[in-house]
Amino acid sequence: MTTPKKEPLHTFFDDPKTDVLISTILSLTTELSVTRERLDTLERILEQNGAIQRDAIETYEAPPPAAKERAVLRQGILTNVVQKMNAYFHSSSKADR
Amino acid sequence: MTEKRLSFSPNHDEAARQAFVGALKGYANIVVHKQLEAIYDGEIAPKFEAEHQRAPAARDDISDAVEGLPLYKYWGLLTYHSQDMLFDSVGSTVQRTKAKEEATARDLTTSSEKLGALHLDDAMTPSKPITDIEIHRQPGGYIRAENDDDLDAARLYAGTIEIYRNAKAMGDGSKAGSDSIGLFTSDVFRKHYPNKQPRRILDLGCGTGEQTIGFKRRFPEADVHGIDASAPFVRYAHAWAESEGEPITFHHMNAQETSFPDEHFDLIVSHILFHETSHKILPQIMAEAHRLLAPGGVMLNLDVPYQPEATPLLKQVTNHWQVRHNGEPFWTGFIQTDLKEKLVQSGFDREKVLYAYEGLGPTAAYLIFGGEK
Repeated sequence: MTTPKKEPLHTFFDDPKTDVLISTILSLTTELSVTRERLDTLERILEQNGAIQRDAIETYEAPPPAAKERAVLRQGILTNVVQKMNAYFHSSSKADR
Repeated sequence: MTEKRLSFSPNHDEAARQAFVGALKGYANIVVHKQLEAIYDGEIAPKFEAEHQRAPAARDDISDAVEGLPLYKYWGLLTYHSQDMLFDSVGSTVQRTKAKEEATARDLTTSSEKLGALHLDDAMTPSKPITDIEIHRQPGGYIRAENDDDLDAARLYAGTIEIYRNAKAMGDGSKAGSDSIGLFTSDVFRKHYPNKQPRRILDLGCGTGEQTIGFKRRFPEADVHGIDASAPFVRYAHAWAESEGEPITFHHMNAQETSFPDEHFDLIVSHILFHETSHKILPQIMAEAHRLLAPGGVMLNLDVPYQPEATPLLKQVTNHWQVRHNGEPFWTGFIQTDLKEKLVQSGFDREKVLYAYEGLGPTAAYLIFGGEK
C-alpha cells in the first residue's frame, strides 16, 4: 500500500534565510514560554507549601550532579532552537559544492 | 480488575508547548489576519475599484495584490511553521506514551467483555487523496502504520484536532477526545427533523471515532456504525469507543463503495469529510449514501463554511493558501462545488435537500448539507 511522501519545506520570503530566522524565533519563543510556565508552576507550588523563600532562588548555586543535569538540559534546548538554522546552512553548503 | 482507559496525557512541558502553539496559531489566524483585512479594506480594494471602476468580485481580482504583501508572507510562514510545531509538540506526547497506550488499546479490543466490534479488510485500498498527500501536513499522513498495533497516525490526529479547531475559532474550547461535534450534529439533526428517531446510524469518514460516540450518546437506542478509509484510524476508534464504554461497530471501508445492503440506514452523517475528498469521489459518496438510506432516511453532513457566497474575498485568498501549503488539495474545489446540485444529481429530491449554516459555540459556524430520501 502506498503512503504519502513528505513534501520539501515550503518558504514564503524571497530570501529563504528570512524563513529560517523567523521559524527559529518561533521555536525559541515556544521554549521560553514553556520554561516560564514551568517556573511559574514550581514557584506557586513551593510558595503554597511554604517550602521556599523567593530570595533563596537568587542566591542558589547548583552542586556538581545538578550542574551536570543542567548542562544536558541546556544542550537539548540549544539543539531544539538552532536546528532549523543548522539544517538550512548545512544543506545549502552541500548544494553549493 | 482494573478498568483500563485510553487517554491523551501530555506532561507539564508538553502541555505548555501545545498551549503555546495553539496561541501562536490563534495569533496568526486572528490578529495577523485582521491586520491583513485592514490593509485589504483600506488600500487594495479601493485601488482595484479606482483602476477598474468596479468593486473586486472574485478571488482572482485581488490575489496577486494580497499575495505580494510582506505581511501575507509572514502570515503564511506563521501558519505553516505553527502546523509543524503542532505536530512536533503533540508527537512528543504520542511517542512518550506509545507503549502504554497501545497496550491499553490491545487489552480493550481483545477483552471478552468488549461492547462493540471492528471489521478490517486487508484487501481494501484507500482512495486518493489520503494515499498520496499528508492531509493537514500531518507527518506520515493518516494511513501509515508500522504494524497492527501502531496507532501513531490516529493518536497524532486525535491529539491535534481540537487544538487546531480552537485556534481557528472553529471549536468550542474542547480538549482532545471531545465528542462535541457529534453532539452538535445530532442536535442540528433533531432541530431540522424533530419527528425522526433513527434506529441505525452510519458515520462516514469517522476518523478516530470521537464524534461517532457523540451520535451514540444522543441516540443511545440506535445501532451505530463508523467507517473510515484509514485502518489505523478505525483501529483506534474501536479502542476509543471501548474505552468510553460505548457499543459501536467500526469498519475499514471507503465511503463511496461500502458493502452494506440497500436501505440499511435511516441516518447517515459525516463531519469535515467532503472537503478531504475530490471532484470525482464527492458525488460517488452522495450516491452511495442515497443507496444506503431507507425511505424517509436522512443524510446530514457538516463541513467548512467558506463557500464564496458566505466568505469575504480576502478570506477566500487565505483559504486558497491551504491548498498549496497545508495539505488540503480539495479545499477550494469543495467550497466552489454546488452541493445542492450534486445532491439532486445523486438522487435526492430537490425540495428535500437541506443546506444551512449552523453556529457552534461563541465563534464557530459550519455548513450543514444533505437531505431526506
